[in-house]
Amino acid sequence: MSIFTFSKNTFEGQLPGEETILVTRKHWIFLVLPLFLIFFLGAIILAFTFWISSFSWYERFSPIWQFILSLIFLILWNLGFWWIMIYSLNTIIITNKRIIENKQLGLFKHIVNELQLKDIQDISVKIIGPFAHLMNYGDIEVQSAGTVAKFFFNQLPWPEKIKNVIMEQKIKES
Amino acid sequence: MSQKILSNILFVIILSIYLWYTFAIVYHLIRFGVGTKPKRMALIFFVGSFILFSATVIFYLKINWQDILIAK
Repeated sequence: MSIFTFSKNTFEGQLPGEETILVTRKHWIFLVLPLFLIFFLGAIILAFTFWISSFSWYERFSPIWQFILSLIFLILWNLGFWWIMIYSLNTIIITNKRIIENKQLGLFKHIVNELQLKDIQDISVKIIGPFAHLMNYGDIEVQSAGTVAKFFFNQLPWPEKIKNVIMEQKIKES
Repeated sequence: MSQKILSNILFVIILSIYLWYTFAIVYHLIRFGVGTKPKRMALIFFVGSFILFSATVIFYLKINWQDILIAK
């Protein structure tokens, strides 16, 4: 399978005859903001390097500072991709049979919630605040007839469209 | 001699933790990621991690502790 071509978005636990309709994650702003902080920290450290390089003693200590700098960037790189991993693995998958919510909370902490489309009784969308309206993200609340009465999906992009996709699939499924 | 052994043990421990952490991130992205984006992220992370790790090792080996510790 090439990672540079179209994907059918298959996943572990997919049932026979089950087709993935939509895979969505939290709005991209919740990925970019922490990454921007990490990038900003890296920029500050680089600026500090340029500043100390103007001192006479820098030449003597430059090898050790270069080592420390590369170590810091290695740590920042790993920190950034930790955040990208958590963001990428937190998904809402809508199929023609159910909705699956994957929550990756850490390396060894993982929660999966599943909701059958036929159990959906009601869906509501909440977009609260000017920033949420501007960036078009919100929460979806799903009322279920199953064991768990309510499902909450937070900070999703285009929540109205996602709600429409769910309702479409529910109608087709019934 | 014991100081050298201790520093080597410390180095191996730190290296093991780092390699385990890198493997865990790549594994999680490839194994549990849905679609192609997580797999691409895993590739970018792996390549960048390798480059930065190599740079760190090279810079460490370039350090001349005699020059730094002996006052001129």
